[in-house]
Amino acid sequence: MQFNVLGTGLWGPGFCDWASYVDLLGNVENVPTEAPATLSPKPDIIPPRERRRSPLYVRIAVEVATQACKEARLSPADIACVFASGMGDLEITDYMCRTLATDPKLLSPTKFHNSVHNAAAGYWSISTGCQQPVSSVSGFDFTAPVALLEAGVFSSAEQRPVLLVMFDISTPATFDNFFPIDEAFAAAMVLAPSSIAPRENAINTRVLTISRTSGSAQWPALELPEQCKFLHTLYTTNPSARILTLLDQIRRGDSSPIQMPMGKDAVLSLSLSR
Amino acid sequence: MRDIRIRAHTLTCAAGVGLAELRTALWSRMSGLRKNDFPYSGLDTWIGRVAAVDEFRWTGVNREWESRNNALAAVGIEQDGFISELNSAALEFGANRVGVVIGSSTASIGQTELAYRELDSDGRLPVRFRHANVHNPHSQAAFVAYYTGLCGPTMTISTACSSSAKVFATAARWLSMDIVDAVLVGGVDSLCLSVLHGFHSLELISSSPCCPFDRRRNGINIGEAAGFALIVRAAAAPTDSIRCSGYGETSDAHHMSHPHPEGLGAEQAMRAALVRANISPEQVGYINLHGTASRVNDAVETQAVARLFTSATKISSTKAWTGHALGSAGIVEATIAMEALKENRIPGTLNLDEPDESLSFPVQQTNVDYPLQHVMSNSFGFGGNNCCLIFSNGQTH
Repeated sequence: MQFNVLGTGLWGPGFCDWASYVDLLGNVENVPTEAPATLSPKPDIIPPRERRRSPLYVRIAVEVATQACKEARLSPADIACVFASGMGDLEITDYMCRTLATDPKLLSPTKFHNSVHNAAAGYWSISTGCQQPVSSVSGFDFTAPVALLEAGVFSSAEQRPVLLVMFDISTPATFDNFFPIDEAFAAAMVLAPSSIAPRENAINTRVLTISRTSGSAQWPALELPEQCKFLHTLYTTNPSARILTLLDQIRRGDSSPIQMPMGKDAVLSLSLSR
Repeated sequence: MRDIRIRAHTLTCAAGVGLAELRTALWSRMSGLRKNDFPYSGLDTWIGRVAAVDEFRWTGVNREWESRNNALAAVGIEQDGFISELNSAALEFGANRVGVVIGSSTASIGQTELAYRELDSDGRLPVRFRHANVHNPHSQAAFVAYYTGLCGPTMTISTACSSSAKVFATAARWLSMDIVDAVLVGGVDSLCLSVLHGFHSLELISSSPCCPFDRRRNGINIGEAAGFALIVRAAAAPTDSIRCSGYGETSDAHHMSHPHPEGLGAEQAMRAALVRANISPEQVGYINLHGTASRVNDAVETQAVARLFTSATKISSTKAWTGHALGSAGIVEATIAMEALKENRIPGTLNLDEPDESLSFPVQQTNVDYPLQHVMSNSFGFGGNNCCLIFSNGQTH
């Protein structure tokens, strides 16, 4: 399956979009060793009343989705979406389970409806007026390749662009000794079948080819400066950040083939070209 | 769309463990609902509980997967000879050419809830609960792959109450793009405090057995279920097997927990499914409605139906048999629609004794024999996520 990548969005420790990610890693001598703080995004696209009630999990997803659609110059209302998260909104999981264990009658109805895995997808479609097919998926540690496969298959089978958004936040203390995620991360891509041409000056435009093969694979190492430990940690612990293996190739202009493990006997093979 | 077939399927819900019990319950109009007796919940309501789950023993299964939802999945997948169908498919295509796509909204959150009742002195999960496999939204699909030995691409769809309807759409696409040769689709959601108290906090829970489309309806009953289907291209299935002939997926873009006031997203989903199946509304003999028995859903859904269908189409809800099985509701009702199609018989809405005269479309009250070529099933979830499926008789094509 072959696509044009029409737009990308990015948010994480030390970067709030694609340009600041490139800047962060652009000057090798000044690459930070600790995760720089990033202001939590407040995407304008969410109406103010809803924005106040929307958790970080939703806001980082909506932020990167907005960036990707803007770069792709496609109206969010017209694009089908696949939202993906390996762990879901762990802050809400923590709130729900804590409240249910102590005083279940105090459970907040707003937090409950925000606890669905498709909360970010729901806020996105409400905020943008998107009435298109919207999915919300998970593959735990394999979320990045599984979601990429799902979005790619959707786009190819339906012959229409698709917005792919993946995002995971940090783990609360209850989980951090067996499933530690230190930093939140979100990324988005607009994929379109090759028949839909990208706009001429789109910075990240690449042709992405993906195929599903059998066998096993190891996660490739990220080719980042060694001192940039926090990004290596992010990549190995945050399920959504696994997409950096692909996105960082775009940054470096590298077009060598990538293999992402997708399970015991399933691999997603990817390659980028101009 | 490409000719996609249901080669085998099974369902376990409050109305029965396996299809034979389900048929008995449907055709003799026996509800599976009972007064709420779920531990620690203490709510005055009725629930659709699968008692067989409470007897499940984890012998021979790695306890790292232990959760009520996974126990329900294991009980469910063992019914109706379904496991041997999966084994045949694995032999025929290769285990890595069979994908696994499971819909679930709760995953194993019930296990996380239990763990939080016993946090250690540092406020962390106690050691016996520290199993990453269950404390994540993908736990069902991963467990089903582990339990069956299937190792094609494995994915969870979690779009609240439309989750296990959307698995059919994804499977159709995976097959049409030749990602796999067969897809094990399913839906598994089990009772847990999050949903019982969550829906209670939204004032959507009824203290009596739910009565969809009745003028006295005052809310939903939560249920649990595990349903599975093996989906293949037509060449790999008997000619008389049921076709999954259409799907429609839309978003309301209206509100997180209220449907669109005129049912616009629901209507668009039904239209999209009809277009894909290439049939007219008159050809749909039966619609198994979302029909939750909430005041708003039932009013809005009949409005949407009335804009598309005529009296040639019978409509009903089966929630009073099963309860609202949330993330598994899609496959529960797809299964019941397929049973109706096979038997040319429609289950009338149980507990609908005093029809709400203000509704826009007449709802079937009694079971009725009716010749069926095409049936539809509606599922609508939080976030305004809608999915409509059409199943058709295999022989006619």
